[in-house]
Amino acid sequence: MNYLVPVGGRQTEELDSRLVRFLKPKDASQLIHRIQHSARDSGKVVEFIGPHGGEGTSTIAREFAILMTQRSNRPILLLDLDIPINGHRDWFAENTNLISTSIKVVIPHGRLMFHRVGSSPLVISELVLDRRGINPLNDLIVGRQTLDQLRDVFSLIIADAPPLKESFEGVAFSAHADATVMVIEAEKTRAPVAQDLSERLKDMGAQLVGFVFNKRRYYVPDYLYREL
Amino acid sequence: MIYDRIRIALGALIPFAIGTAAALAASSWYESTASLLVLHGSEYLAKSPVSASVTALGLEPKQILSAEAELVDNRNLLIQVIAKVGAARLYPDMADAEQERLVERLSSDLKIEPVFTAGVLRLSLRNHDPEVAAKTLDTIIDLYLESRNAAVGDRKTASMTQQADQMAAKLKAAEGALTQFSVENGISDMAEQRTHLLRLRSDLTVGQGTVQSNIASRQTELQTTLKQLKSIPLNIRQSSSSGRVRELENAKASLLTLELRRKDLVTRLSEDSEEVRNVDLQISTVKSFLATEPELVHDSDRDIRNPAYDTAEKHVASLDAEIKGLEANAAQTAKDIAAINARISALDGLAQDYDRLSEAAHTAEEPLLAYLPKLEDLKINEELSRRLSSNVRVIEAATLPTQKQSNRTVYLALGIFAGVLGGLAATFGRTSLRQVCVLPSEMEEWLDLNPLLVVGYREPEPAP
Repeated sequence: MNYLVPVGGRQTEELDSRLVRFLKPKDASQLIHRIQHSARDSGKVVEFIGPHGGEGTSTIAREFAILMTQRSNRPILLLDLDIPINGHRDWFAENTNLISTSIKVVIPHGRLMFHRVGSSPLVISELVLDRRGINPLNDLIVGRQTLDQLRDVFSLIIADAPPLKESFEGVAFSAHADATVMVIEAEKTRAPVAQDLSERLKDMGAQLVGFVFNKRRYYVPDYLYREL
Repeated sequence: MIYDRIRIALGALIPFAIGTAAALAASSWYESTASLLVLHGSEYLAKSPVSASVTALGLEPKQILSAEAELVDNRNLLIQVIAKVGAARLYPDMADAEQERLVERLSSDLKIEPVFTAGVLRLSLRNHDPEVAAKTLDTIIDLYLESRNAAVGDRKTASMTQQADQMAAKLKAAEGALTQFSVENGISDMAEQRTHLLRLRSDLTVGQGTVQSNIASRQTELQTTLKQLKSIPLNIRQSSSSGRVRELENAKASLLTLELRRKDLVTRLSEDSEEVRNVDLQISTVKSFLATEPELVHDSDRDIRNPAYDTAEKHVASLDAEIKGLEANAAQTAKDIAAINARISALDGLAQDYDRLSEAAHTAEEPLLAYLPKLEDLKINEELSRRLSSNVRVIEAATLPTQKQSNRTVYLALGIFAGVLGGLAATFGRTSLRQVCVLPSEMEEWLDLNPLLVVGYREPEPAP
């Protein structure tokens, strides 16, 4: 790691609320409170992980990050661990104005770059690899030095981990996260699979604080549901 | 999700389709109903074998109704009902089926519903024909009551009835033989028929005698007239004083006619009869007239035909014809008498067999006539006794149904219900088999973790 330059010192603006489709501000508020209630240490590093892929983990992490920027103007990092897809960088580039920052982490076989989303306090990470086929995530988190430095810069680090089916790195990262949240898709994620992920995370020493139940269908009409 | 929808739709549609098909194929029927009131009769009380006293042991009302229901739905009773109503009429589509299948079908069509609180048996029978349904149910009730009475009642009447039936059969056979013999031989009543024939023969014989007598008298009269005819001149001379002459001639002709008439009357009547005396008076009058008149002198010589001769000649012809008619009559009467004699002889020949058959019929009838009043008295006594002790009353005879019924609505409702159940089963079956969770609480149980947030499903945005 060469150096870290803190974000800030400039006027920040809220992101367009139309970027958020699934979560509501109160959802983000509820989620952060419950996470921090059960998190260890400062609760700054929150990892979202799903067992299979397609559960909506990245969407939940992204919208959670966007909504958290509306609560504070302190810098928030959306750490994209789903390497080497860099899906968040592409999504924000398409929907917002990405501004590259001077923060850069040099790692073996590549470098970790950070982009500020418009004038908001949200920063997303992008991993640029020198060689294909090498996953440098382990190097990134070894010794927690890099992560500790990031903790110093950002008030909240939201890590979007790859699903267990695709990579074990997400489970490995959970040992360094202050809180780990599983994302379960209603009527799709099989319970034994979720159970397997839960056990692996616990074995890894993760602070598993709970799960987000995503894509839940309401078969009872809304008006009736409200009455109930 | 599409896969789930198809599965759920199939799970719902297949039972619904089956229900709909069953509803469309379901046949309709008429249902006749009847009700029987079952009271706690003496037959349900346990009686002491050595004395007439009744112990406290008896059947409960529920047991009584159940026992009566069993009597109604008895296999032997149903067989009798089928035989009485006729299998072809009861179930035309099973006319050639085995008896056991017919009994099963009738048993399934017959519903017995005991109403324990009221002590009532409600009977209902369904059939494609309303009249057959009502008649069959009536037959079931009748046979049930009969069999019940036979089971509960005194058997003395049954044995006496059987004896009376045997006697009646014997009498019927004897009467049949007598009737057949009578028909074959043209006999209605032997004695009366014979008496009639004898009377007829007697009448004919008397008639024949009279005819013979008439023939003889006519022949005598004919001979006399012929003799007179010979003495009467064929022509007579007519004078110019024709008016006077004609009066005398007419008087002579009248005298002759009167004399002939008198002879005829004398053959049939006595001399003292009034008619003969009248004729005699007329003859004397004519004779006195002729005696007072002087002999006529003829003025001319012209001859004319004698009217007296003509009158006598006509009378001869008339007598001749009458004699021939009487002879023909006598011949016919003789033939009739011969035929009657032959018939009487034939009857005399059949009399022995007829008497034997009549005696047999009479012998068969006599004990039956003596037996029947006793049996009738016994039956009346037993019926009175039975009515007093019987605990079953028909409170509603079999009704003639007018409303057609079918299970279509039931099948359709069942199809819909099964469809809903099938859909739900498919939904929950798939969910449970895949071990996925619909509710966050289910996953909470699996993971032993708290749900931090529940995010509702939203359709993905369409691609631009």
